[in-house]
Amino acid sequence: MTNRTLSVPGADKPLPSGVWRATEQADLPTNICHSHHQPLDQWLPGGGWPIGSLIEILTDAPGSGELALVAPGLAALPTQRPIVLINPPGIPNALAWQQWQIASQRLWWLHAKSLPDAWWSAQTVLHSQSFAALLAWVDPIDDSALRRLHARIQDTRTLTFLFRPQSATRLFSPSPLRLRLTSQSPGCIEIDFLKSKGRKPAQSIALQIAQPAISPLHRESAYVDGHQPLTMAR
Amino acid sequence: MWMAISPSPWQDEWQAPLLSMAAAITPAMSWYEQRSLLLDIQASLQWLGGIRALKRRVRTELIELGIDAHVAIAISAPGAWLLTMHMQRQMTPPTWRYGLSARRLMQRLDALPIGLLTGAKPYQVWLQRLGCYALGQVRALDRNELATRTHPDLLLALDQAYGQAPFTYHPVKLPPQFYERISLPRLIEHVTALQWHLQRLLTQLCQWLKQKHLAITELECRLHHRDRRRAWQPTVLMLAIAEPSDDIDVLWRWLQTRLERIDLPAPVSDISLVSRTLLIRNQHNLSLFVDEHTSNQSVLKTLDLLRARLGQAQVQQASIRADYRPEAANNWQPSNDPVTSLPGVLDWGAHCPAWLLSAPKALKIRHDQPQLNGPLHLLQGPYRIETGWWDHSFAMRDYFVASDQSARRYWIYRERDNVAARWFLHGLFG
Repeated sequence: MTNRTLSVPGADKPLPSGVWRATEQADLPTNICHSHHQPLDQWLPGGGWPIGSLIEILTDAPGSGELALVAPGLAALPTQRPIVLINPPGIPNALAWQQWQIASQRLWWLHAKSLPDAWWSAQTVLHSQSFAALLAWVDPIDDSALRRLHARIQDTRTLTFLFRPQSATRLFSPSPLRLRLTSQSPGCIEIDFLKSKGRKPAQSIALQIAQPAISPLHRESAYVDGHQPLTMAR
Repeated sequence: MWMAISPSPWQDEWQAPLLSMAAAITPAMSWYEQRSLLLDIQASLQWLGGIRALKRRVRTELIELGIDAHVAIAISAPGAWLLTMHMQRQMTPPTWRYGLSARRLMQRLDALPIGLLTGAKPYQVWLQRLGCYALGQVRALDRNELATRTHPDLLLALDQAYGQAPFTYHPVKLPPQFYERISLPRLIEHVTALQWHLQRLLTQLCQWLKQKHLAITELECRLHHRDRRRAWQPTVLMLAIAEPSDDIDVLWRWLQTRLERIDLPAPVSDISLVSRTLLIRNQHNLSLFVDEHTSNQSVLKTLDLLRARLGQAQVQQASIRADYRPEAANNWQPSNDPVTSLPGVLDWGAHCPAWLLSAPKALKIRHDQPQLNGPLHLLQGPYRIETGWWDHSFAMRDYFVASDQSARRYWIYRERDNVAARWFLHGLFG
């Protein structure tokens, strides 16, 4: 790597701030929160979710493991500050959040009837500076609203995730970190880095997000109540 | 000069309107025995245009309020009260009595039976044996003898009634309330044009709050309409905030958010602002760093703002009920004050999806396998619940974690209360 860059004239000179070589991490976000997924932390710029920066997660449908991906990180945030969900695609299950060590009274669910209301709510939450995290499902979001949101996030202490459909992959986004999430096998997800500061992994990262399923032997013994046994997964 | 108002059959719901009516006449008033209101009207007489004007005003207001009352005006408070009591005793229809000079009052009081005077009741029989039936006769007795044989309070009560001794009382303290109404110089049709006037009113409110060391949590803003063709109900904006405030910026932002969302049915001619709930302001020291308190304040302010725009019911907080039915345990409710109590802890193990469906979705069954975009394979389970027998939604379910070709995981259950297996999708693992 070094040999190759040496051949470029002037490559050994120190670069001005704000300019970086593709092989180096850009100026690392100082304010991060570990995602608590070992393989992911290695590749995220700065070693964790950047706080005060828009993170986009593109996934096709709810239930692809998007919350299990972000939850360990959210649990590591300051425990007094609340977490806001704007227009989630289903009813968020507070019991699951409790299992992720996030107290239920920290969770606030905003039902915005219209998209402008949802964008406005997101901006208001970010403006107040006192929320730990914001999880928003506010698609379709237009360019100017997205830019405004991105600008608003810059110097906040709020960890912000924007969940968008995969169709948004081709659309422009000012967000510095965009991840695409696909479920590979039950309990296992794959993450593609669509956009990230600094280096990117060559291939997608596989993450285990749930306990492995119980053994088939155990599964069959699970039927005990006299109903006809079901054909099990082969 | 005193006025005594004694509603003849007392009704509790008259208390508040009576007080507010009296408060417009004089600030010095007091409740007296037998549910009578005594008003010191001396200072207000000239302002109200004399006794005749006062009588006209009070009488029409009493009729409007639907209160039947005996009213008397006299130079002493117990004297006026005794006159009303006498009228009540005689069951006369609501009328007025006066004792505007010491001589006139003396004439009237002298004829009253002694039983009316509260201090004379214990000695009533004794006095009647002496041949004293009226107050005038008691007064004719020797004062020193009377004081030795009865109680000095009897003499004091008599003197107070005749206006010969000072009368002391506990004044009624009205709860503080802010009310301000301004007439606009011209009819205003657009909300934006109202802003300046509303800000002026809010500034007044905030100054008043600061003076009284109060903070407001509920505020009512009325926009009165005027239209030549028809009458309009005023537009009422009821505003409630979780964190008591006396800050103009907070109140204004909050009112503005509400104003943006209303349509004026007709041009506005008047605006009024009424405080509904006031609290004593809590003083906190300012701190250099952002600490827990200021951060919490900011959260409450933001939530108030969100409620103002999205609606009270649209901002919900999670709480967990101790119940094994997931739809009952997972309880989202709009709450005005953040819940701080510890929720019940349930352990669901692997059976805890991130998303729940609002209503379980029935699944088709083919070849004994539940179907959802293709056959579902069971991965984990069963997790059995049998609960809810106490509230008519008995749940007998076996929960399973299932998956399909897309490798997403679903939380499905089978109802156990009938022979044919019925499968439902209830949640998604996020």
